[in-house]
Amino acid sequence: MRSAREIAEVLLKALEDKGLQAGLDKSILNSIPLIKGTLKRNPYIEDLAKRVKKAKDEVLGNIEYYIDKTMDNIRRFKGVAHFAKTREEVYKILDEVVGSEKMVVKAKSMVTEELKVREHLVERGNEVWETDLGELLVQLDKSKPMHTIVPSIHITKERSAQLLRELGFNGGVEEVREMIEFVRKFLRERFVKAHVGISGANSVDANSGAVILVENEGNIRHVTNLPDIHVSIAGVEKIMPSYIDAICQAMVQAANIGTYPPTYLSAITGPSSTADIEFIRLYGVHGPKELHVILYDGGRIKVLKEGIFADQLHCIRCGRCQLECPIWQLAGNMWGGEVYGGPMGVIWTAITEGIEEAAPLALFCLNCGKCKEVCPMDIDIPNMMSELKRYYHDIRTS
Amino acid sequence: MFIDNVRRYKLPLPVEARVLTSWAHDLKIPRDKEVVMYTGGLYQLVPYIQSTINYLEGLEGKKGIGLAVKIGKALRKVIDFTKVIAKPSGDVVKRQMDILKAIAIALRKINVDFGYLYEEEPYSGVLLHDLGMEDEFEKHAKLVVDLFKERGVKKVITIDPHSTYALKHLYPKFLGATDFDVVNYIEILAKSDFKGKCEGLSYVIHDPCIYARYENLIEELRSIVEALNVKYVEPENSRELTYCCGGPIEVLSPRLAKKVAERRIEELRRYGKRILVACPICYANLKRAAGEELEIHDLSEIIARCLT
Repeated sequence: MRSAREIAEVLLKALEDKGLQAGLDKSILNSIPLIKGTLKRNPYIEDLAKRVKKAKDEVLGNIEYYIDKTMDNIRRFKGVAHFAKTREEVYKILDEVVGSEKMVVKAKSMVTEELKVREHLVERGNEVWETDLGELLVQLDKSKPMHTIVPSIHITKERSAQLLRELGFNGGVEEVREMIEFVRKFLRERFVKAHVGISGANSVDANSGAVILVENEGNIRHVTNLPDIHVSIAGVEKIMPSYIDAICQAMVQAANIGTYPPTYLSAITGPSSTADIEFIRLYGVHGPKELHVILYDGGRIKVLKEGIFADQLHCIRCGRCQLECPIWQLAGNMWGGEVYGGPMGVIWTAITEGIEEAAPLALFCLNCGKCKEVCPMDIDIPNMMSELKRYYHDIRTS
Repeated sequence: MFIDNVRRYKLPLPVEARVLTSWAHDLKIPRDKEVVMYTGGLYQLVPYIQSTINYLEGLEGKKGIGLAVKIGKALRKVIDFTKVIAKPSGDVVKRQMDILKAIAIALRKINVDFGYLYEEEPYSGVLLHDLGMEDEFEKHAKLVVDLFKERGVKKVITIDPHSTYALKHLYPKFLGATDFDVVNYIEILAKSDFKGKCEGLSYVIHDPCIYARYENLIEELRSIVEALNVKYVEPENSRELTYCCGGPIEVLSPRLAKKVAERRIEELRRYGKRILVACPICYANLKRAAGEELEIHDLSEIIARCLT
């Protein structure tokens, strides 16, 4: 277990990182008023959030039932349903579905970060591209996502230009528009050539197996539409009891990041199909010929049974708690584990990396309660932080 | 170090009993009463916390020394900690005494009959809980509850957010229902016909996180300010959305705590030069970040000023 001192050193170092500080300041300045405005203009989001919380209670209380139901319904609509308990099981599925020497395009997804899907596929000899602009920058920067939704907040435009030079960009550091044009052209060639598209899922409907995805850039549409095979990986906590609930979750998430309505909301049920000739349904038309949905456990079911961190599984990964947390505002996801950071991220670290990783991080929680106040799912993060602090102390004294 | 102090002196820092209780001697507050005003020593400690944290911040900045907690451990072995920390000036100590007196006088004004346990009054132990030392906290809480029982205390009037939260919520959580009621002085004043006359004063309100988000003392605080005829301004991060002063991690990393305070000060300063706080920890940490540029006053200081 890392000591409080080691964590303090990381946090103090983050304070000296000018790029990170500038990025954090701008993100906070721009996002918080945007989110507050969105929620004020769309007061019904609050009601939807309550609905989503209730729906999640239902699923989390009967997780095995809902996993089975979701798998059955994915199959009913001609998708291929997988359940993976561990990271190794996910890799095994990917090795079978993707294989090697393929071109793979990826949508941004925290669960694939957690699983290190990109690294694994590259290791197997595939060419893998992150297609979310921010995530592509993170890929080139070889750093980690600094926010759940806006992963590249620590990368300035100057640094962005420098990173894109590796791909052949030769415009100026001020020309953000040119950078976007460059990436658009660069990735279009990959989208068309790609064999496999990999995405996460904002939610999954248990009744139809539909995978719901929210985005603004339009890359997810390409990732999930152009390649022959689409693989969606979702933590089991993303299952929702109905199609409407699944859509509501995506809406609540989008509103709490301030981009509402989102430019694109995709609901994908099975591979593409047609019944235009004599009403006989055939699969694989313009979109993917195969859809694989991997429901990933990764310790979540155990957490549900044990109770201490179960509340965190209500999380819709909007990152609102990150933006509003005074410590995250100073250190971004440097205050976090390998993948997840900030208030929700410390608890997710406990779930995905283990309590020893998370406990020393929790010491730096102010217990100010702001994360719980702004959380659309009203998750009691401070309470779970207290549990982690207690664990840290118990280990240090024993 | 702080933990050790709680064990040895029943307080996070070693402070003489005289300093803790002199305010009550001056007001001749009775000893044996079923209703007691409970300070938890927190206001009295502020000047000592300030000088300790400043000292630790100095050490934290030095290369190769690192974290405050660690330093405390080392220091404890070699020298008497009390000799390292500069004694706070008389003015600063007097300010804290005046705050306690103001609260007591305000309560007397509305005919609340109460006593004070003087040197017997125990610390709430809340720091132990904040640092995750829950077993120690529970033991400490038990001592406090037993003492209250022995002294026949039926009702405790708390005067700061941290002690309020500890006694009102944490004690029952750890020990089950307690034999005494806990009520914060802000609640009592807000429910009374308490009035003051201060014309032309205006403050930017900084809600303590605990009052705003854990105790729901938002309207009550404002109604007292209104009853004093004092105007107030709400910053963007106000009420339930108030912003932390950084205090809770000042022991762990004074620099990080100060950074949090600086952010808050940056916001508050846009709304005015006078800041109203209602927590000794907020006061200490915001003061550290604001320097002399802003006037920071505790609610009770404003009460004292408006009562005369």
